[in-house]
Amino acid sequence: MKELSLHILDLVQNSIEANAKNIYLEIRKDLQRGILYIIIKDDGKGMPKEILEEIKNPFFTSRTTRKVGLGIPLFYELIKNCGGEVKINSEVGKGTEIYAEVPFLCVDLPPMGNLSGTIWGLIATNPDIDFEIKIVKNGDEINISTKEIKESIRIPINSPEVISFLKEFLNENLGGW
Amino acid sequence: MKKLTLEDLKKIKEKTQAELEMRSPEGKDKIVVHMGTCGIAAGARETLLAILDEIEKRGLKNVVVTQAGCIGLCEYEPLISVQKLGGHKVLYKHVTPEKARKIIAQHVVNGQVVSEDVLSTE
Repeated sequence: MKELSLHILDLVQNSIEANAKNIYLEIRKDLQRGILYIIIKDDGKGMPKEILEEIKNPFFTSRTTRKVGLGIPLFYELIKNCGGEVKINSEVGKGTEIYAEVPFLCVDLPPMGNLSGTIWGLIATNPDIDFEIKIVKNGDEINISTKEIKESIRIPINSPEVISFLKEFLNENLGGW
Repeated sequence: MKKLTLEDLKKIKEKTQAELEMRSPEGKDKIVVHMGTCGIAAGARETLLAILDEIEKRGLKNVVVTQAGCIGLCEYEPLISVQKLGGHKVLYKHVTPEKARKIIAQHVVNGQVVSEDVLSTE
């Protein structure tokens, strides 16, 4: 994958697959320490220890449709090759948390890419999931809570007017990595 | 004081009904974009964004877009399936953003399946 935002999309897909109702996504760029943090927390079905131990193995998957599971292994290798760290905690019935930190000046780290597209696509196609998104970069902090949006607008979040508005808002605020 | 008339009630009913229709995927055309790791690596996000953009541009209110995981046909990704109300579910393969826009125009809007890109129909 050529963009970090594609990896993020892929990781959030795991939460959706795990039937999460609430997904927290934090992307934070610490300029002073030179570290990029990516944190994803969900309240999905979680994983038992046996699966957690195998999660970085590309030839392991819980799926029956195919024999490989590349999402987390690809992300893990990428972060590890840049001298970063990935921690995954999970508890059955409670949810999963992925915590990654990586020096963002690493030459092998792909660019962030179209993060607004990633977030827009997730919100637009999953109207029943509450996303809590926190982005901190270059002195800016952007917080998006789809639960708050839903409560204040009272029309479906995937209706065309809301989708258009969100697209503009995200495009304006999520560039400049 | 202004009196509530039957007309007002009708308006409220219509509005609420329209909202309910919007909320439920029943009674709508469905587009599913497959977004497993394989799909994303093959460009499914760009396909999804093109679909959402086309729906926005055309103001299509009767279409609901959702996503699904990998179905084991990774070599045909990006895959999307389109099901018109009361029609068959059509699975399209190698759907680039350009093809997605064509599928919206030809299949979703005009009801003509884009046969050259079909992988299977059920």
